Amino acid sequence: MRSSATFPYFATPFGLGLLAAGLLLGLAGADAVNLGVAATLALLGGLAGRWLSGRHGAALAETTAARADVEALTGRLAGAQAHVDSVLALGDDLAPVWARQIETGRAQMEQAITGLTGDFAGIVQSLDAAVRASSAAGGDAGQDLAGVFARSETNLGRVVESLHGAVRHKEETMAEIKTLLDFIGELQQMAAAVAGIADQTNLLALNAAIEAARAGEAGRGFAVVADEVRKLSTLSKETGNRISAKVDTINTAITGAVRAAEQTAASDAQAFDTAGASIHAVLADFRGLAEGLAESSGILRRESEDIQARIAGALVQLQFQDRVSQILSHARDNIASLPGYIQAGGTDVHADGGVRAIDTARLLADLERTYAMAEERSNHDGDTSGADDSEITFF
Amino acid sequence: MAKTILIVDDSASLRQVVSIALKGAGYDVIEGCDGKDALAKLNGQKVHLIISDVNMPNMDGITFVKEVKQLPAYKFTPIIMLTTESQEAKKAEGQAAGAKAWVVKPFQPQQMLTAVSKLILP
Repeated sequence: MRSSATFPYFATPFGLGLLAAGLLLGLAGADAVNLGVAATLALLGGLAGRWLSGRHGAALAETTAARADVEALTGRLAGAQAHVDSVLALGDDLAPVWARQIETGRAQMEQAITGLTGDFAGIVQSLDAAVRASSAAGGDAGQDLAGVFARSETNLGRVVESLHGAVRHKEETMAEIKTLLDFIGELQQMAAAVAGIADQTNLLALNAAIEAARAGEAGRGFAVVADEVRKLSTLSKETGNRISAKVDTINTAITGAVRAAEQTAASDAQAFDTAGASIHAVLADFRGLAEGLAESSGILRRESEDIQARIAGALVQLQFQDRVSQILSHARDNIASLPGYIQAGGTDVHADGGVRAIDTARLLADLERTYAMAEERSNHDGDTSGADDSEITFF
Repeated sequence: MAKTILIVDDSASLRQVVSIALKGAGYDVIEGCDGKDALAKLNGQKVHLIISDVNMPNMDGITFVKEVKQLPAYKFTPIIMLTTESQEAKKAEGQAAGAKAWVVKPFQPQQMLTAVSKLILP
């Protein structure tokens, strides 16, 4: 192929050399000089043909190689174009999907945490109401109950003491009444003495009447006196007997009254003892109830404090939703802006065939400007040490 | 009578978290979801203290504080900024706008209540 293609480049100078040699010999004659010159012309023609043929072959080879290079470059350019198109597709098709997925996740998380926080608020409110109600019933009321118990114990103690005082007073009254029985004995003796004196007086009056009768007419007046004395003694005896009968009646009445009073006093004492025991039992129950309520109140207070501490912890944890949401929002916005940056380079490719690098530094700078948290900035620099501690600054 | 605190934050869950802490301490709470909404909620209502986020849509916290300070009725109402921002430059912006304290989220409820009781109007 190459030899047949280069043949004209050899044959033409060589043929021209031969033609010049032939013309020289034909026109000038074939002497030795002309023969020499003709041979030289033919040789020069052949050498020129060979050189020209060689140059052509080399040029042909270079052209073939250049064509192969062009074909290879065309293939690579097509590959580069495909890559640029895929990067454009990454920006146009994939980045919005990433942004939407992040936004969906962020929105769902925010919705769920907001709902969770709302439920938590309801629970806290209910717990608070329950604790307040329990405190009112068992907490402060428990303390009040202890006060009421102390006052009731004092007052009821006074009642028991009054009851005991009443019993003692009755016993003293009974003792006083019993002393009356001794006086009644003395009254009976006195009545008996009156009766005895009446008997002796009657006997004296009888003796006086006998002596008056013996004195005859002179003793008539004395007999009348003796008779009156005898009548008086009889009356005295009757009076003594009535006194004795009355004293017996009084004695019977007082004895009956004392017996009845003693029975009443025993019954009262028993009733008072029963009442006192009942009061002490009620107070004991009351004390147990008050102590139980006070204990319940203490447990409730401790539980309430524990719940308050747990609520405070939960309130801190729930705030991380806000931080996570902000981080995702910033990443979402930056991804959403990615197609614009890619398009800037891609447009150039399609417009003038040039390829411009994506301005990653600017994209990163834009992302960095959106940061609000120190942990975002540390993440940006490759330090994942974690979140800030809570802090308060007063101005 | 319970004192009233305005909470301004675009995060509903954060508003609820702050609200739980404040209501538990006996304060009344009203809420705004951004600066603009919060200005509308104020509307002459007696407010003893304001707690505001910084980064919010429609009207950010710094602008909101500046707007509040322009209102005669709320000129002396103390404002606490509650934000994830911890940069000194941002804090300086808040202070210049008229805020009285800067609390970085997440906050401890007891710390917040201490700050509130220290700053709230009598």
